This record gives sequence, C-alpha cells and structure tokens, in this order.
Amino acid sequence: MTTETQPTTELRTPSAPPVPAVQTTGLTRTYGAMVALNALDLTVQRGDLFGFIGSNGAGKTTTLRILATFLAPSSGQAYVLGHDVVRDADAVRHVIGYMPDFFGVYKDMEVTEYLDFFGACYKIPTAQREKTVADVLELVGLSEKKGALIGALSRGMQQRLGLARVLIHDPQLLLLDEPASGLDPRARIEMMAILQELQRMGKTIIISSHILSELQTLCNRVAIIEKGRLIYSGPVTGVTQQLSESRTMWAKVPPEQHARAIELLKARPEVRGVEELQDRIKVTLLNHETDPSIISETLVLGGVKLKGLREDEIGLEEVFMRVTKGETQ
Amino acid sequence: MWPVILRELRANSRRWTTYWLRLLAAAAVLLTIFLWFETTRSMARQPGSQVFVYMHRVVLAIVWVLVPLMMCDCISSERREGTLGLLFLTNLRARQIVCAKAFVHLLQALTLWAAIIPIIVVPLLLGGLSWKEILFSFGWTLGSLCLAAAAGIAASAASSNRTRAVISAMCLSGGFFLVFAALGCGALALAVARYFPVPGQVATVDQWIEMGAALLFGINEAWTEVFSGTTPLFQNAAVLATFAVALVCLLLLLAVIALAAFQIRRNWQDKPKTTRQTQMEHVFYSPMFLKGLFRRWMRWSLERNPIGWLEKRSWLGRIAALIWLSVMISFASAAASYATVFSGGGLSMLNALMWMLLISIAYVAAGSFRRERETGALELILVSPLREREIILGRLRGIWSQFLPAFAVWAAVIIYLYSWNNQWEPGVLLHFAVIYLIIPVVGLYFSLRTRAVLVAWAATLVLTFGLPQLIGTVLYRTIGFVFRSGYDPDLFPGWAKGTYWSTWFVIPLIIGASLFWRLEVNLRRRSFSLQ
Repeated sequence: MTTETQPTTELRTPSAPPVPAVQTTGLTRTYGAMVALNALDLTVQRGDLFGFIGSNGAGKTTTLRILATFLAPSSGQAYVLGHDVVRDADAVRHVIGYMPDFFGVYKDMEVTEYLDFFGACYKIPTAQREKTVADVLELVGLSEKKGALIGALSRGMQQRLGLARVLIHDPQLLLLDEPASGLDPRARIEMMAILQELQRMGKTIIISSHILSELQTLCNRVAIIEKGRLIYSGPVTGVTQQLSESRTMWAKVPPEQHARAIELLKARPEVRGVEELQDRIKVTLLNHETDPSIISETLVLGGVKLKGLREDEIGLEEVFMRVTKGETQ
Repeated sequence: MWPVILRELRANSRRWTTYWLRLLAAAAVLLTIFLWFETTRSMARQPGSQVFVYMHRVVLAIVWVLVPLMMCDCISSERREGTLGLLFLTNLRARQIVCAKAFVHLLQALTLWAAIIPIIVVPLLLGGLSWKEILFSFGWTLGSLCLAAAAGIAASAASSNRTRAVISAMCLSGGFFLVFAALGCGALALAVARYFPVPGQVATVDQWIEMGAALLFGINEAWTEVFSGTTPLFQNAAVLATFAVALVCLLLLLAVIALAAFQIRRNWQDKPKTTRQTQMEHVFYSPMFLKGLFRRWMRWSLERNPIGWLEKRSWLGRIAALIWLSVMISFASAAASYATVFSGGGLSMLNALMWMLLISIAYVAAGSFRRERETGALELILVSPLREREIILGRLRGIWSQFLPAFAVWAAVIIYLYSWNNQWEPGVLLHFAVIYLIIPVVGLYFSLRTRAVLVAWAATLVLTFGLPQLIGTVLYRTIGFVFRSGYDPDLFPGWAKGTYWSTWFVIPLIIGASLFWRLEVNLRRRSFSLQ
C-alpha cells in the first residue's frame, strides 16, 4: 500500500469520511526472530482519548514508537492523520507529540531553557516561543517552577514537564507512553485531569498505561494487545460485553426461598449456572444478549419474593485478566 | 568483600572491552617491534635488548594511560547509578568496597600485562637480552601499575561524573608519574651510588635525574650499557632499586585506597549542596561580565543551531574551549616576543600542542551524544522535525566552532613562525586542518556506535591517526614491492609523493566522508545502542 491510496488531510473532500487520527494495517515489527508486533490493525478516531492496554512486552511501546516515526515497521502500514509514518515522516513529526516512558530531560537545564530548546528544534519562531512556553507551563501547572533546574524537580513535576514539551508545538495527536507511571495518587489524578482538559481542547490522545481503573474512567475507547496481536479495540463501555463470555446477575431473595429460586432458575434454558452465595444468588446467563428480565419474571411467577436484582459490573482490570494470558514476547 | 569481587569479575567478564583492551595492548607492542624492525634493525648491536627497551616504553605508556582510565569510573559509576548506597546498607565497609574494586581492576590491568608477556619471546630469540633486564622492566612496571591504579581510584572516589573522573584521573596520573620518576631517580641514587662505575661522574641532581630518566625509559641505550658493561653488583643494585620503588608504590596505593575509603564513607549519602558550594558555583560557573551580550549570543546560537547550542551551554564545554584558547594565546604572545625560541625544535612543541588539542577534541566528540543517549533525549530529538543530517551537522558545527578560536590562533602562530624562519611547510598546516575537520565526525560516529566513552575515544584516535598511517605504509611498501624499487623513494619520487598525500590528506578525508555517511545511515535506521 502506498500513500496515494490513503486520503491526506489536505486532499479530503467535504463528502469523504474524516481521516482517522491513526490507522494501521498489518503493522508488524520484528527484532531478529522476535515478533514484537504482529499484523496490528488499529484505528483511532480524531478526538478520541484512546487507552492502549497490554502486559509488559506486549508491543505497546513499539507501536507508539512506530507512530512517532522513531522506528520503522518491518511490514504493514501506519498513517497518522493521513500521513504515512515512513514516507511522510516529516509531516507526521509536526502533528504528533510523543512522550516516552522515560523523562528525556537535561537535569542541568532550567525548565524554560529545556522547553526553549525543544521549541527551537520544532522551529517555532522566537517571538512566538516565549508565549508558547508560558502557556504550556500554565497548562501543566508548572508556571511557578519556570526558573528551576530540572534536576531539582520531583518525579511528578518532571512528568508534567515532559507533557509540556509534548505540547510545545501544539500537536494534534499525543502519544503518551505510561505518562502516570511512578506518580503518587495526587500527581496521577492531576495528570489525568490535564489529559481530559487536552481532550476537551480537541486533541486526540493515545495513552498506554497499566492503571486500568483510571483508563476505564478516562478513555472513551481502548485497545487490548497481547504478544503483538490486537485482542480488542473499541469503546470502553462495550469491552466488558464483548470480552466477557457470559452475563452475571445477582438476585436477592429471602433465605427460606433460596432453594425454590435456584430450582426455578436452573429450569430455564437461558441460564447457564446458578449458585448460592451467602444471602444472594448468583445467576450466570448464557450470553450478553440474554434479557436479564427473565430472572425476575421466573422468580415472581414461581412465587418467590424478589428483593433485588443487579448486574455484576466487570471492570476493565477483570476483563484484561480474563482475556490475556500474561504472555510476553 | 568477596561478593563485590565476584560481582566485579562477572561484570568485567561480560564487557567486550575487557578482551579488546588486551588485544589492543598486545597489538601496540607488536606494532612497536614491527616499527623497530623497519627503522633501526640494521644498526642494532644487541637487537633483543633494544627491542625489549621499546616494548618496555610501550608497556609504561599503556600502564600510565590505560590503567587510570580503566579504573577512574569504578566507584563513580556506582555512585552515579545509586548502587553505592545499597552497598553501604549491607554489612560492607567502605574500605572493603574500595579494596575489592581496586583488587579486581588491578587484576584486569595485570591481564593487560599478561597479554604482552608472550611477546617477550621475540627479543629473547633475537638475543642480547639478560634476565636482569626483564626483572628491571618488571620492577618499573609493577611500580607504575600501583601508582596508575592509585590515580584511577583517587579520581573515582572524588567524583560521580564520568568526564570529571576521567580528567582527574589523567591529571593525577601525570602527577603520580612525576612522583614515580622522582622515586625511581632517588632509589637509583641511593642504591647504586657506591657501585657506580665511574665515581664522581654522577654528582649533581641534574645528572641523577638524567641518569634516572635514562634508566627508567632505556634512553640512549642506557640498559645495554648497564646490563652488559657494568659490574654484577651495580646491576643487582639497579634491579633491587626498581623493586624497592615498586614496594613504595604499593604502599602509596594502599594509602590512596584508605583515603578513598575515608572519602566515600563521608560522601556516599546524597547531600544537598551547601550554601557555600552554591555561592562558589554562582561565582565561578555563571558569566559575570557582559551578561546581556552572552545571553544574546546564546539565544542567537539556539536559533541557528539548537543541537550545537547544547555543546555551548555547558560551562564545562565553554571552560575547555577557553583554556585551549588561553594556552594558544600564551604561545602566540611568546612567539611574537621570542620567535627565535620557537625555531627548529620549538615548532615541534607547537605541533605537539596541536596533537593535544586534537586528542581533546576527539574526547569531546566521542562523548558527544552520550548524555542524550543516556537520558533518552536523543529519542526525543529524533522525533522532532530536525532531519538526521541537521542533527549531525548541528553537533559538528557546535564542536568545530567550540575549538575554532584555539585552532585559528595556533594556525596564525605557525604561519608567523614559518614566515619568520623562512621555512614554509603548508603540508603540516593542511594536515592538521584536515584532522581538525574529520576528528569530530569520527568521534560522533563512535559516540553512537559504542556505549563506553573511552572505547569510543580510543577508536576515534586509532581511526584518525593510526589507520591513515597504516594504509599509507602498506601502500608504500606494496608499491615498492610491485615495482621492485626496494624502499628507495628516489627511484619512484612520484609514488612517494602520492603516498605522502594519500596518508596525510586523502585517506583521512575518505575516512571522514565515509563515516559521516555511515553515521547518517545509522541514525536514520536507528541502528545504535540506546541507553
């Protein structure tokens, strides 16, 4: 596939579908005999706050490095806002901001000096640079530290500085590799708040993280990757439905009616399993399409007093643990 | 202490430099023998003895240069990586840590020496070499090893910064060498005074220094004269003196180990800078005069060349450039005042100064991308819109411009002295200009190829200075062999001239151009070791 087959941002007509922020097709990267990425097909729409989940060594960093033009893929294609990451790397570099999983700072530089240097690397005009530096420092909450030596900043502040560096040239797509790793709870929450603010500002953000509970609340879409292969890509709300094999409901009935309720529910073909756990009954439905109202209907018609019925909410962490085997390359 | 020794031994065994350095040492000695055969074979009275003296000098040079460099990062790297504190949290004592480190690195240095020992068979087979001469050399080398190791350990204990450790180690090595030479002269004076063949011939301090230096380095066939033309008593006294010096050097090494242990016991914990330190840094590291001009100049540099700006903004880089400029200006003013002093041999001194400048540029270039690699900043620069060629040229321009004032002053002095002496040799000037151009390219190439700065530095020097000479010599000999002209350049003056130009200009330029190309390709393919 060549760049000609992919519509670029400039060439897009009003009637054409919007160009995705990221699109990869059969993206593969090998290191000798080891396959780090195996035919990855991934699409990230503009404006998404996209969570990229996987075990250590699953291929997340390799994917982000390819999208950031730091690595070339062994085969397959990757497009960032319509630009081929191999053939049109220069254009890609202007529209992305890449934050690796390390700081990449010069500890003997002052905060503004560091941002000034990267501003010069991004060829931002001098007159504009001073204001831009002040703005990004304001955004990440480092204005008060602008004259401080980077070596004297805390880990959380250095992480924020990394985010400020990413924003210095106002990129449309942010590629953030473990931006919250090693941060204390407050710094992590603040970092997540900044990311939400950036999404509101119209940035597309791809964030790889191990803190799945935060990704669940932060991201609107996620992808799960294992051993270089994509397992799931889609909305966060759908991930539990698609990836969990069955649907679990909890029914609360009087203790003396437990036996009767279990008998009734086991007779239904839509029910895979019934289990009594303390004062509640766990009902596993056959699949996600099964209407949970059959439980209430069965119990009420069978003369059992139903005190409560709720669905078991599976978190992203549980889904992740279920669908991955923890295998690395 | 044993766990530290085991860890160090394991770590050393996994480093490829451990093996390559041995090979390098043996190769250097073999090259010396080859050069000796090329130059003075026909004139030698006792060839074995003379070859052995050459070998001894190379071994001393290797010991005084390589051993401090090998040892200077042994403690500082632990401090830098934060593992020194972990060692102190165990039952280990500071002295045990330093002793273990010193022991392993001394062992490693001894293996360098062991790699050379089999080559002794060459002078032995050539004949004229006595076992006393071997012992004499052994004694000097042993003493040198101890003091060179002491220099490395002292530098390593004093700093956590690798560059500072290297510079301190080399300075201390120079100082300790003077101590060693003084000890050697003193020991010889004390030990052999009674047995000296011509009483009264060596009476003054100058004469003792002259004799000591001659016996230390085997100058003017001093060894041949001593070991074949003096009494056995005198010979035994000389050999014993070397071992006495070695013993004193060993004691000095132990004292330095104790001092280093004391120092790291006091400073192993991270301590914030004191107010006095901060004030001192403010006074000495910050510009005091023409601050506005300095800021404007730095901003201008940043706009024009951000990658080169990184070199200029470091105070260490600015100081190095300023020191070289002041040295050159001192020589320029001396040359302007006493031009006669610099005629003849004085010009060689200026050339030696330029060699030293080039060697220091090689070090700067060889460590140039190290920090960016270690911190990961190189990855960030590579995903910025700067192209690979811009990054390379930016850094090259930074290094060239850093040392350009010193080079320009040197060139002006040389041109002035040439015109004053009426001996115009543009070839020398042009050769140094070519090396000045290519040495940062070679250094940058190796700074991305290898993680160890010292290896990168050594490779830069070998490729810039050694390889053209080797290719030139092989070319010259091959042509001589093919045309059966022997080694007489008069028979084929054109070839001789061609070889001269190839060796001094064409081959270095080809090396520079090809490495620039490889550097760009490597950077584009990201085929270099990160972190």
